Amino acid sequence: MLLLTHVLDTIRGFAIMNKSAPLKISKGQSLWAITLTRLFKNKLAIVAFSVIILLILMAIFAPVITSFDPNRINLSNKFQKPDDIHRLGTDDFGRDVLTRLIYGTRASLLVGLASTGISVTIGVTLGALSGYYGGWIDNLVMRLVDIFMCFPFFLMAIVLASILGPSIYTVMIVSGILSWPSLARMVRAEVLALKKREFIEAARALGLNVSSIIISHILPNVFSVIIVYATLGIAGGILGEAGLSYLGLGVKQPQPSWGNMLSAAQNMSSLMFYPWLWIPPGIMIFLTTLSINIFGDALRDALDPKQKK
Amino acid sequence: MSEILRIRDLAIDFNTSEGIVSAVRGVDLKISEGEVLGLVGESGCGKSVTSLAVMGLLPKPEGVLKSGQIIFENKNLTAFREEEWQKIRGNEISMIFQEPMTALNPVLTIGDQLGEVLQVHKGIRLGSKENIDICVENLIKVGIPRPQQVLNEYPHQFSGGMRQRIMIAMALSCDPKLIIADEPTTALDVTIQAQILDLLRELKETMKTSILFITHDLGVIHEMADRVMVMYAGKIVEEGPTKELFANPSHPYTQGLMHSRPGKVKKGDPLYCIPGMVPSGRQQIIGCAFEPRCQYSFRPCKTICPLLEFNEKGHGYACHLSKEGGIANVGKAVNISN
Repeated sequence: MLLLTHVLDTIRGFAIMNKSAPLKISKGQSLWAITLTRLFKNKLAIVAFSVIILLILMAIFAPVITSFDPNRINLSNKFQKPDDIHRLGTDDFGRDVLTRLIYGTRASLLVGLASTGISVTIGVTLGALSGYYGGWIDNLVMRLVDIFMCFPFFLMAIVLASILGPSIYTVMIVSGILSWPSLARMVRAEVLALKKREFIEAARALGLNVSSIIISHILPNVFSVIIVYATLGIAGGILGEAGLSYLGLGVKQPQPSWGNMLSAAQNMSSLMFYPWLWIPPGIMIFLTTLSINIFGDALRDALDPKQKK
Repeated sequence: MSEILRIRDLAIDFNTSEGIVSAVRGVDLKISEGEVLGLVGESGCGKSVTSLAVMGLLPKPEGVLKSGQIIFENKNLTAFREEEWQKIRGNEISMIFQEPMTALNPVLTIGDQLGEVLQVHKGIRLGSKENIDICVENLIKVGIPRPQQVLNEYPHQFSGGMRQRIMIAMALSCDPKLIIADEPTTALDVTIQAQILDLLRELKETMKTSILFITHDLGVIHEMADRVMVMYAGKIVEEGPTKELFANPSHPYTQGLMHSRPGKVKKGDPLYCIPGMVPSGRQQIIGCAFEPRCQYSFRPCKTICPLLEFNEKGHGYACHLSKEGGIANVGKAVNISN
């Protein structure tokens, strides 16, 4: 419900932005509307945001953009150089590289979103509980965080992936489960500070129960931290997918993903003679994570209350 | 008038890293229906802690209820579990906080915050027409213009006085039987303070709610309260009907407080102040807590704690000198010589 109102406010923010060129902070603007107006004064952020939107559209409308089947094998047509039909050439099974690249966007974005979803869910829940309740709950959660933070990411990911078996879901779960601790810490710190604030005391004095205090009074105040983390986390998820798929532990063939396309570069002859197999996915990964990181940074600046309008 | 709240022998300790601090040391208090009880005292004397105890909001785990009973409408609140408290808070007893600037959640609209109380206690869904209607009605009651728009606005768009009005509207949402106002005007400037006091007095007349009014401002208490209690170092030292107490302040501490008001001093003269410091709650106090600062202290004061003794007007004070009969006279004599 609250999230919905925030989304609505955000849309309202857009509407206000578009109506008049000289931005005026008018009455009734929420934190999110103000943030958006600030965010879109940052040119780099607009570019990054457009790239992200473009990628999302690409993922959704993949079958419309390209007429090839990403998994159709045509061995008589393998290792074709880029030409008018196959604009980025074909791979070792004669599949169209551009098509696979476009479909690969789906895998990468899905992994990014799902892993972030998992880590945000776990991180926010545990962080909020441990911050609000303190005592032994806090101790337990924070020790768990310490333990998780000791795991070297890739080693752990490889072990988990080999236990669960390589698939797109494994990648989501692995990078989700391994990345929540830092968020849990951030949320805990915020909640610790917030629960001493007078408006939380006032909320308690109004007879609200703990769950509604946490969900509807504390978490909206932590939202800026969460949203920045989530944006950057998506980039992390995409990189994690690329890394794991490159090692053959991520998205399984024939389903295309940027990571497993990149693993063509493991092969010496591909690396030297067929650069169209691995340069495009490399660029895509680079471009995507860069855009998301820039956007996340801009978002953090825009959400910083100390910054002037 | 029937009794709505009674506190018996309330004692509250705080476990701090530097030992136990006794914040409240045996307070007895009674509020009748429709009555405004003023609780005065300087910072750290236990006024706010008493009010938090009535709401069941003592900071845990440091705050410990050592003894005493809080009886609200024949229910002993001290025996309540958290869920039972939640039904009382904001519903039958509500609170107006000191700092309107920080007591509203900055990221939620006024409508969300006002409506939530109704949803929790009356089951009227947030955002439903009935909910909005009641919120608007409450905002009108506290004198907020264009209430419809206000519901969609955020706390940062309002001034301190307006926010305090909103806080009062929130406190009134469920027609509580008792409102605890913990220094509701301290953070406001004088003109706004007067407006808020007018509003509270008006609401008291129309709604017949009892109010426990906590403040350190004697002027405010004089305007608001029917009965006044003066608190010092966790104990009630003087109690009585407002007029009577202001006419005849009897405890040396109350006299000191009255005398410290700037009004009576000639221009250029230094303001009066009670010598000494409030005793720290860490010290064990055996006799009268005010003894070290008291100009009349004599032998029993150090060792025996005086009890509240009331006269026929319902005015009482806790001082050994009351038995000597002469304190008021002695006090006046000293004041003149000053």
